Amino acid sequence: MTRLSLQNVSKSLGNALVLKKINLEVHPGELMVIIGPSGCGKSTLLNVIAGLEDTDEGHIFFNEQPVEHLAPKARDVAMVFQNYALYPHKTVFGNLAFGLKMRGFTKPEIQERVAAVARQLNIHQLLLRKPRHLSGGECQRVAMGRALVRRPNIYLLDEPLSNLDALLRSQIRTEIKKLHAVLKTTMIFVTHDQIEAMTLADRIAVMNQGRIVQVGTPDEIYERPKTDFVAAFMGNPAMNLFTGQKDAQGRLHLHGNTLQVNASPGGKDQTIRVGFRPEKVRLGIDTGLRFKGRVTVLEPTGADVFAIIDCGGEDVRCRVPRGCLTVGQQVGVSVQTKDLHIFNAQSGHRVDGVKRP
Amino acid sequence: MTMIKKRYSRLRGAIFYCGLVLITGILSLPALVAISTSFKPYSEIFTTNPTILPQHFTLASYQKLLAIPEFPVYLLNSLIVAAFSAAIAIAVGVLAAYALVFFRFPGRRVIRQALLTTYMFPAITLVFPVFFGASRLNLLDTYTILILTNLSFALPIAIWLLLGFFEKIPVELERAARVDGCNRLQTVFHVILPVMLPSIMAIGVFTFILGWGEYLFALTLTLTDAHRTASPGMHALMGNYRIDYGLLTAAGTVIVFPLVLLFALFQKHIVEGMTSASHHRL
Amino acid sequence: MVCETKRSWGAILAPYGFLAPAVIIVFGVLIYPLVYAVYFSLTDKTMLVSAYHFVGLGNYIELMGDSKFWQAFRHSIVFALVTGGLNLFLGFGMALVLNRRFRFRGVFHTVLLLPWVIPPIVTGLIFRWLYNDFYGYLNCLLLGVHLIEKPILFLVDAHYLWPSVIIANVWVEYPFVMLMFMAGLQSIDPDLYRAAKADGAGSMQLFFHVTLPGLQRVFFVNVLLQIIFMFKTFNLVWILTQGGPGGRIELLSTLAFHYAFEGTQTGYGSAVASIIFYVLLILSCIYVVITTRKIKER
Ligand SMILES: Nc1ncnc2c1ncn2[C@@H]1O[C@H](COP(=O)(O)OP(=O)(O)OP(=O)(O)O)[C@@H](O)[C@H]1O
Ligand SMILES: [Mg+2]
Repeated sequence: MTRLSLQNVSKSLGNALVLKKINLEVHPGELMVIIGPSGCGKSTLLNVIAGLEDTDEGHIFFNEQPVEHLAPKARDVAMVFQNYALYPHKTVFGNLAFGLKMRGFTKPEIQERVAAVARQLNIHQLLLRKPRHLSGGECQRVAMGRALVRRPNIYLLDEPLSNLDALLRSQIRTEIKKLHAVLKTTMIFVTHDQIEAMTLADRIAVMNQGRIVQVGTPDEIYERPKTDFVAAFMGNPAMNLFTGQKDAQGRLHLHGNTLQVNASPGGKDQTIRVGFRPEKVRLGIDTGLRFKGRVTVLEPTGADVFAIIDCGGEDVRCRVPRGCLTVGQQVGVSVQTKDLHIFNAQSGHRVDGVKRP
Repeated sequence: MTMIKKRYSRLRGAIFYCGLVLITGILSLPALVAISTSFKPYSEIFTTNPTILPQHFTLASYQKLLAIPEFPVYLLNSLIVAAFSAAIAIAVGVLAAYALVFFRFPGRRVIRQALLTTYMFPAITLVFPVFFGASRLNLLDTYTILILTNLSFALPIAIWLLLGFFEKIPVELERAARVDGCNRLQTVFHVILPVMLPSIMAIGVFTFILGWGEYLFALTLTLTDAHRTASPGMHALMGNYRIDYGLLTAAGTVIVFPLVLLFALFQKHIVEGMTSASHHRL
Repeated sequence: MVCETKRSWGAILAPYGFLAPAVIIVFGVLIYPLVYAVYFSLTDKTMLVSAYHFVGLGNYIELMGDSKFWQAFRHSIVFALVTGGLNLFLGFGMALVLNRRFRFRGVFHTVLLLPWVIPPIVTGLIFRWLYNDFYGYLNCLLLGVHLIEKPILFLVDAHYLWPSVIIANVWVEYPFVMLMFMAGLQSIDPDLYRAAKADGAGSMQLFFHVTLPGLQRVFFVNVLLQIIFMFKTFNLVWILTQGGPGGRIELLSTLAFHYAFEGTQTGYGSAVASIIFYVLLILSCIYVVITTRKIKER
């Protein structure tokens, strides 16, 4: 079990500063999910941890030992790449065995480990095939297998499920979770799929534009997003976010509503962003933030219906039980004050402490 | 309506095909004439109304060629020089191309451009200093100097083509190897080489073809039959057997035959290499 | 700590280590001789006497008044433009033809590419035989159909010398151009053609609005490469004519060879050879600058 810590890690590629002073602590045996939009530097971060890219600045520690100067081999991490990167000239067995062979394991040891992992991942019948004769899902398992045969310090998984269909994805997700429970090895899992992040993670690190914006348990991230970016990025359908005003008395003015909230005491007049999750929207005019409008879109998503209500030029997204709305209908909706998230419009940071009734 | 259209397009196809055959025929005529001359008896070669194909097929010219003891030596010399220069160009070129594609380091662009620009250097400018350098170092009329001078074009071309191939390797593949515990050199041997083997062999074949028939350096740097390669050897034959075109075309055919064979075998990969090389930037 | 620093030094130097053999060879067989050639061009070195003196720009100044040099310079330019132009024309045409789909395409492809692998000395032999005054096919054919009365001396006669040499050169050089253009044609996204066809474009419009714009870069690269290659060409011209009677097709390269090896004036010949290098250097710089700029634009 390895503790990983990154301190002020920066990295530029070409002219772009891709990682900007990253600080991250991953506890021993933890499954940390890194999530962020495409191009935010997730793969680069993994490469830096693995030693495939040098850092420009900052330090990386495995169990308090600095590793910046160590080659990938010496860091002893295993990695699953976004596009599998199986060795096309080797059989599945050869792919799985290669890492062990390069580390000087004996033939019988290699045989034994490969066989065990192959059974575990249900690829033992494929061992003699070349990667080009494998399906996408099989390739994916082999790529996982190549990491699992090793007992590395850390597993680094770079969007390993992104090329799979939905069913296979959820199956393998469950398998990874089970594997992690058994192995208890520190694991970093990169994704831009929030369901994956929510279901797998012990903790989630949200990245944006080369920075880590928030680290926390899935619940923390979902319930108390630190910035409006995290709020908007996590959750599907996305959170409603509106621009409003807060006056010196801590009152919120939004869309004709005036609410008492106790955000950032002692403030003066201030533009803020107000967010609330679609599933917190309640039908009917009630207490709290109130909207009136016309239903413009209805999308059934199984048990629920996702609706967009046009409230005088601003769309309110909400999630309601099936069958209680029709398109074109005039409705009133409301959100309780406790369900509001309030952010500073300039910095995007959470302005804390919405008054609980 | 469609009938007419169909017939029209078929007609066009036929005309296209006839034109193509005609052009190809004209373009391969020079070579064809030479090959056929090598199989003709004396009387058919030196006639004022020659035929394209030999009337009486004979190997007389080849028998005469066999009787010239230097000729096989020329071929052997060409083989030695071309094989060694191709092998060195590949070995050195693979390392260089690997570094240029998979390492990130200061000066990469400059070195890459400099290496790629060298293949435009004129051989004629190099030949005088090389001649004097070789004579100073007692390297005139040796395999060594011929192999070295062949590298002056084989290496830049090999690097040029290798870059085109290596840039098609997904970076993740190379990275997977390093995570699996390879150092850089092991990565080259365990992953890059095996994955790119057919392409690398094609590049080897291509540089071999160029080395086999290299003319200017071989002409100026060899003095005796012992080290003459096919080109200066042929040059000597053309002096000694001035007008014996049966013998000369037979010699030419023998010199070209292995190249045609190699090219036909590796054509797909050579063409593919040129294709990717022609796209990549300097 | 010491150990760490060491390892990072290794990592820093590794790429240079991989490049070292190539750089050393390129330096030894290209850069160093080239610098020496330029140095020779500043001396009065001859083939026979080992002592020589630095004469500064003397050779170059002398060249400025050398009518043979100016003639060769003109010849080289004309040769490069005409041969390069024909290579481009034939290469592009054949690439268009071969880019279509038809039966036995692979066979035609191979056959048409073959001249490319024929060594220059053999090409020289082939064309010497073809152009032979008494028994060559060309003369026999022309005589046979009574187009001419007496045989043409293709490699001597002032009217036929240039075309004969250029045809031989084009025959071996155009396949390379063809190959490059085929590569260019194949890299054009077929969806562009589909989209244009869906918009109702005819085959002419397809050619002018999809094919030609798609080949812009390849065209440019090929034009410059052809000028570069043809400007420095030596082998075939030398083998066929050695510069021709009275220097009728004397190029800079053959002139340099004449001066340096046959006339033993190494210094003076080196000056001519160096001038070829200077011209190519300028062309190469243009090539590098423009190709890299093209990349940045994308
Ligand atoms: N060699 C390079 N030179 C310059 N910029 C690069 C280079 N490689 C990557 N980048 C840039 O670095 C940024 C981060 O890339 P990275 O691959 O880490 O993103 P990512 O978060 O993994 O994205 P994705 O989810 O699409 O995989 C991107 O904006 C990319 O354009
Ligand atoms: Mg990525």
